[in-house]
Order: sequence, then structure tokens, then C-alpha cells
Amino acid sequence: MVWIVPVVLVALGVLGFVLFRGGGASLIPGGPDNTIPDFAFKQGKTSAVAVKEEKKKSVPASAETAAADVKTAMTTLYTEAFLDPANWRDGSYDEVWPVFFDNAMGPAQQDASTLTVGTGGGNTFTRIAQPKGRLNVKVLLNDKDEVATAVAIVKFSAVGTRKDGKLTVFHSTGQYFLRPGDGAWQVYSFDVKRADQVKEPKPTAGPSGSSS
Amino acid sequence: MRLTRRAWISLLGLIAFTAGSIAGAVTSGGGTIAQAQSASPSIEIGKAHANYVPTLDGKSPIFILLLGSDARPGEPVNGERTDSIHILAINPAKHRASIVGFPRDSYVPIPGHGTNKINTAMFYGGPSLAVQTVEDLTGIKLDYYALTSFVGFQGMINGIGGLTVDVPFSMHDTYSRADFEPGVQTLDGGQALAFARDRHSLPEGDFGRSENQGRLMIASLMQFRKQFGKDPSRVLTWLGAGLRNLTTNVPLDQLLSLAFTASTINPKHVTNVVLPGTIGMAGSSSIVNLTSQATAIFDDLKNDGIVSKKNIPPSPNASILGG
Repeated sequence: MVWIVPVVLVALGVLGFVLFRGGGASLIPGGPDNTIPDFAFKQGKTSAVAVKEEKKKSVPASAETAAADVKTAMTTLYTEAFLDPANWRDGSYDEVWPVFFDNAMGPAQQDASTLTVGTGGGNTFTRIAQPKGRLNVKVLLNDKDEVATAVAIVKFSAVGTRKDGKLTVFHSTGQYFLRPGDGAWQVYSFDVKRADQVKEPKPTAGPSGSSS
Repeated sequence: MRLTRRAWISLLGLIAFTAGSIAGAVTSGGGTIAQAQSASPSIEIGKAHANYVPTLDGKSPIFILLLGSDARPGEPVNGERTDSIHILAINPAKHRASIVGFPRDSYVPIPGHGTNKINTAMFYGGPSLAVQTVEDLTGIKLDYYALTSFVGFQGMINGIGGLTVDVPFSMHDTYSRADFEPGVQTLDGGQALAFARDRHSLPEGDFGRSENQGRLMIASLMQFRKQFGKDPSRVLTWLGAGLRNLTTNVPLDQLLSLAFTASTINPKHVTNVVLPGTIGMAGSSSIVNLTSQATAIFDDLKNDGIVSKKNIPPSPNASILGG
């Protein structure tokens, strides 16, 4: 019966692996179980520039509707680009590119390292979570008060837990020009900056819950 | 020391447990750390900029006729004369542009109306006749036109929050109300209009005024690029200000493309010329007879929207520039 000892110990080893990986984080959104963290941009200000009159008393309904559609498009873009583990693990962002019109898709793909987590996500991170985003929308109204084009002015951040124990805080700010496309608003121009930061994690309680 | 079989087995198991635990901790990086924000200093990495502006990229130049009507407030813009006439030529591929000013008294054939001053084409037949007149004169197919008035011009400038201009020389004229000393200054709509209208303080009158109008266009480009670089959404403010105060046949989406294209043109690469001509008389009217150099400029411009150095005439304000 002596064989039972190594079996138990190996089993404990496996248990240790499971316990320590991600601090038992397998059920945390953005973690190894491919759960996508809940995210939607917070809608900020919507403003309208009209070609008929200089100042409008209030933002017309067409602008508010467009702003909501723009928010949906931007939320999809950032979710697929930064938060969906199935994308950043493989460095494959096929769901991102349809948010762009054909004219902008190629340039966006060339700038994938700025517009997404990038190709090395799977080698660098164990999970990406804590997304935050705020979006203001500016629209141009044509002479019929229809929205001709919209600009999404976005601020986005998320925290990536790295395999080396550090944290990467993703910061993406910029502007996306959109207009209605095939069933959704799509991007035809963009100007986006990334300024990520690496942080040492703050030491806190271990898996047992004891504080250090 | 010789280990017993049981001890070996226990040791191997312990190694397996430890290795498993370490592996878990290393790959997660998170077993013993907080996932929250750190109080420790951070290092900035991965600074990057992604930018795509859908400019026009065709090799053919784009020609736009810019018309300034002398309609006063309350008067229809269309039925008046145009005292400001320019061709704006844009070469998207080369990121260059040319502004070619027409003296308002240029004596030219007006289709269906004999030969007359070029500024009467608008009076006889609105923008379409003005376009046809310039096309026939130059041999250049104009893609678009844009027409504004005194009020419209002021509205545009005010709509973009004023225009910063490097006034090149003193301008003091009671007719236009121009009252400027040289230097960089921000003009409101009324001041910009005065700058654009003043011909009495200039040695060559309307020729110099036409050049100054081109100078305002270049100042606009400079300001637009500066603002667009900082905040691309400002393009909407510019388009709104333009469209509220212009009559144009440029479709909105094309106007946006033109604005994006303008953002790629360095103002230093914009040539501002006024067609050379000699003063003459037609009956009792003072007129301008365009010289053969004007024809050379048309032929040159037609090819690529760029006026070659050899065809650039002297500035009509040369005698007071830099003085």
C-alpha cells in the first residue's frame, strides 16, 4: 500500500497548482475560463454641430440615437480588442475588424498592436479585467437634422495580470469617426493613443487569507 | 546516506507538490498578490499612436472655385457680383495646393453675355455661369464651387472662434475698416472681413487684396491643422461653420474627405498667386487685361494643380512686404 503515498502527494501537487494559479481565479471574468468581463462604455456628453443653425436649444433625438449606436459599436470594439480572452490569448482579433469600414480595416489591422492587446497577450497575461470606459459623442447634423457623421471620444482602461506577477494597466484614449454602415455604425477614421503602465502589485493576503 | 524506498517516494511527492504550487503561482502571477491598483510607482510602457485619416488619394487634382459675393446683409448672394474669385487646386497625392486669385476686373468672355468683367458672371447667371466662365477661360474643369457673402464670411470666422493671421504690413483703410499693424493676431469675423476687403492700403489695389484673401485661406489651413492635430473632432466645428455660411455643391461626405485631405497639406506647400494683368479701359470702365503669363499659369495648373516656380508671378504686395 506504500504506492498510495506518492499518488496522494501528486494529487496534492495538482491541487496546489489549481489553487495557486490565478489565486483561484479561474472563475474570475477575463480569467482562464474564457469568461469575458462585463463592460460597456459609460455614456458621457452628446453634442451636436448643425449645418442649419449655429446653436441648437437641445440635442435632437437623432443625435441621441446615434450616440447610443456609437456606444454599442465602441463597446464591441473594446470588448473584442481588450477583454475577450479567446482573442487576446491567441492574438487573433477577427471580431474587431468588422467594426471598421473596408477603407479603415487595413490600416486598423496594421495598427493592431495599438488598437488591441496585441499578439503576445497569451504569453504575457493570465487575465485582463477591471475594464473602465467613458465616451463622449459629437455628431454633425446635415440640413435635415440627420446625423451625417459622429465622433466617439473615448477613454478606456483595463488591468492585465501578467505571468511575471506584475500588472499592466492598459490605457487607450482617442477618437473614432463613425457613420452608419451595414446594420451598425462603423469606423472610417481613427486617432488613438496607448500609454500602458506596468505596476508592481500591492502585496496583500495570500490564498489563506492571511495578511502579509 | 541511503534513503529508504518510502523516503524516496515521499520526497518525490513533496517535489511534485512544491513544483505544482510554484508553477501555479508563477503562471498566474496572482496567487499571492492583489489584483487591484498598486500604490507603488508605475512605469509607462507601450506608448503608441494609431492614426488613419481617409484622405483623397487620387492623382488627379481637385479644383474648387471659391467665390465671395459682395452681397450686403439682406441681399441675395446669387444675384450680386463676386469681388473675390479664386481657384483652389488641391493635389492630394503630393499634399500640395495652389490658390489662384482672379482680379475682379479681369475682362473676359462671359458665355451668352459678350466680354465683360469676370465679376459680372455671377450677376448674370449665378454660380453656374461663374463656373462656366472660369472653365472656358482657363480650360480647367472645376469640380466644385463654394460661394459666400460678407455676412457668411464673418459667420465662418466667428464659427471657428476667430482666425489667427500674421498680418504682413500696416493696413489702415476707412472704407473696409481695416486697422492693423503687422504681426500675428487673432481676428474676429468683422476684422477678417476688413482684412479681406481692404484694397486702399495696398499698392496694387485689388491685386494685393486678392493675394491677402489667399493669405487668409493659408492662415485658415494653418489653424485647422493645428486644431485637428490636437482634437480631430474639431473638424465638425469647421464643417458646421462652413456649411452654415456657404452655398456649395460639394457633398457633405466629400467635404469631410477634403477636410481630412487638408489636414495633410503643409501650408508651406501652398502657393498663393494672383493672375497678372495690365490695367486698361473698356468704354468708361477700368478693366484688367490678363497677360500671357496668366495663360501659362492655367496650363500649368491644369496638369497637377500646382503652379510651377517659373510661373509664379511677383507678389502684388512686394513693395510693402517686409518693409
